[in-house]
Amino acid sequence: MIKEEKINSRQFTLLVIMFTVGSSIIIIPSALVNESRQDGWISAILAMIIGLLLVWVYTTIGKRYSGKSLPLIIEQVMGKKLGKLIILLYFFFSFTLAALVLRNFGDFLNTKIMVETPLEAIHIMFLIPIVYAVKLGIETYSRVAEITFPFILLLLFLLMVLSVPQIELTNIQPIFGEGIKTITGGSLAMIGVPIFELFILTTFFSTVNEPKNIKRSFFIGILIGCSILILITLFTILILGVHLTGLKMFPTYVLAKKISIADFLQRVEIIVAAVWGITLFFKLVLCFHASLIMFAKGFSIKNYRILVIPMSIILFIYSLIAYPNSAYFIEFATKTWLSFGMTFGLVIPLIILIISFIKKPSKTN
Amino acid sequence: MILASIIIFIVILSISIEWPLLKNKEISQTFSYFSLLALGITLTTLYGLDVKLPNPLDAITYLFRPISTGIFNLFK
Repeated sequence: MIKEEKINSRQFTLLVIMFTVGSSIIIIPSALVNESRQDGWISAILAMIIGLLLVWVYTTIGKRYSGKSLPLIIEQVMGKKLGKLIILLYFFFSFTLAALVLRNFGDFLNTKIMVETPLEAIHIMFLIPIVYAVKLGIETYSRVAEITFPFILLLLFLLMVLSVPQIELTNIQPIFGEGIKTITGGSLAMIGVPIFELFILTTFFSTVNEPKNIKRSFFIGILIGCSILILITLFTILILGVHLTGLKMFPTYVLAKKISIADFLQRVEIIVAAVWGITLFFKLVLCFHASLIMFAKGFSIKNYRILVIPMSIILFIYSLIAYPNSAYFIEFATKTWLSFGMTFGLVIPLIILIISFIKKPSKTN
Repeated sequence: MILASIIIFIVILSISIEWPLLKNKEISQTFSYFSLLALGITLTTLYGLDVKLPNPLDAITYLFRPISTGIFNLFK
């Protein structure tokens, strides 16, 4: 009854890029700069290297279990009872992430663009396409990713080119001025937010039609996605300076506001909002989809599609009560998220990897 | 009030969309569908009545904050 869905490795790469860039692009510069000052972009490079290592771990797990998706791997490695528990924990992780991402978008629109619209209205409007996309399945929305990706690249290119006249090189000097230790400490900010979350994408390993290409496409996706983040961080530091970047909640948006070509081309900040909206849509869809797959697997429900609408109502409420104000969010994202993400993005995958080396995966399944 | 009417609309829409799937004799599937829907409606009603709902993030903060602090101290 349930049709097997397949995407090709190029579409998977695009989804990885969207997942990495989404929601981080607009908030990551201030998190990086607050820790490692003008060397924030070096921290981002370091985070990318760690990300590549982690992706190696994830793809090795995927390869050892011949491209199965994450819930099946966990069940095979941990046994039935413990496996189900861990799958439900992963459900909680990705569901929480989905709620936070949704709230992030709502907060951004509510504070910057549509100030008088109630948060609930924004969330409902944004959830409708999400529900639709998840109901149609990964095949459909990865095709949407193929269509929208050129626009994202174009808009980002435009943003960077237009802001070149504002660059002040003194803003990133002295390079390495804060010492190696600060740089490594600062990279934790980026490792926590997009890098540890990447483990959610292993849920979709089984949908890629060429399992041997997963490793390559995952690596390329991380490289491109993190490069975009590094460039954005570099540009915000170069143009806004350390102090202003650290103060703002949405520094990339402020960066776009600064663009002014001959007093004529101004107020192009909606470019950033568009890029953010598109990439965030994919991140939210992927998180929500993954959480539904986990939930269905954890409770042995055959078809996850039936749960989409009830779950979306719960997601809606979760995103509204998730945090009372932005200060709570910044505190949570910078202080608590790291270890929460580390448990699910590093510790459990490493345990799975070690067990998979001890216990030979059976070929028959 | 508006929220309640939207939710009722969504619920009716949802049941009418999923009806072909719900008619199957998958009891666990139908059960989970309706229990999740009931949970969603309850939560929305409570939210609409301005009841303070417990925030799962507080629990996460309580559990994971000490570990994070430890990691950050390593790099200080």
